[in-house]
Amino acid sequence: MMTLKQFTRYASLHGADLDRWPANAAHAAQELLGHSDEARAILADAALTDALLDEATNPAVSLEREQRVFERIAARIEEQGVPDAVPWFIAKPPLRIVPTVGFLAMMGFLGFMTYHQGIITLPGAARAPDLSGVMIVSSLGGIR
Amino acid sequence: MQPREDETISDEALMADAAAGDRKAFGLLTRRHLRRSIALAQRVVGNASDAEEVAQDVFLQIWANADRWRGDGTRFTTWLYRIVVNRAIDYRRRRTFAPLDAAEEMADPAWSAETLVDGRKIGAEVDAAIAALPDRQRAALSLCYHEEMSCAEASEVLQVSVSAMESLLVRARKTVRARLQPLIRQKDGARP
Repeated sequence: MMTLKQFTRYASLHGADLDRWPANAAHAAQELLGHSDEARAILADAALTDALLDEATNPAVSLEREQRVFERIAARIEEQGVPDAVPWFIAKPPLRIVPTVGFLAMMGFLGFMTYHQGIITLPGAARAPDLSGVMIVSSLGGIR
Repeated sequence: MQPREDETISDEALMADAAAGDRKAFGLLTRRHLRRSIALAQRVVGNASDAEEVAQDVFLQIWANADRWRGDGTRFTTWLYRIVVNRAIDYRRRRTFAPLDAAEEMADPAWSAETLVDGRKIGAEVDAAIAALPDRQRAALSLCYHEEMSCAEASEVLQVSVSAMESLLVRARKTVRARLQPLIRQKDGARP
């Protein structure tokens, strides 16, 4: 059973021609129209809006006009020539922001977890290098 | 104009050939959709010469980027109308900043009863009310009402949800209706 509110919504969306309504809604609307004066008034109101929209000027596109535009397009394409086919393996890949940023963020996260949190350990990375024999000479001459 | 081509070749097949540089296939595709594209553009931009410019730009853009056509389950017409509507909206926005001398004359809302007798005047008032709509509402009205697309099809063209499309359409109809209220009274009054 269609409510008057639903009916109003459909009428303001599709207009008064029930053939343009979804089939099930049109069927329910027919039932409502059978006993509701309010629904009939709403439909008549929508029909007025439809009538006004029908008065809008329909753009006339004559054959001559169509041909003129077609010829302009053809002439421009003739000037440009056929675009060179680029093999896929040397074609410029499309820039995709989301996957690129996602990949970089994931790599950064993995690096952080590996080297700072110790949550992910890599073989060899866990063992700190023995630096006891290394002598560091600073540019000021100090030796550590 | 030459006779219409074989309609059995799908748009998508023609577009695939065009992507491979087949100029003839692109010509067939252009002939098939040019008229409707000009009409749609004209409803959005509001005048004939700009609509021709828009349609020309759209087909040249499609030819230049034909190799990027993927299909991906999208119908060619949905893709084409999306480009037409977006290009027409951009064009109209640029024109908004044109000098006032070049701007179209706005309709006088206080028309007289005599002028309403003239059907062309009524049409002009309706055109003016539609032209005053926000771009996307006007596009929604053109696609659903004049191009007779379903809300689902039109929502794909405008790249919005179906519910958003419905809202655009309802608001467009309400706005046009409100602007033309005096005209409706006049029509009601003219009824026997």
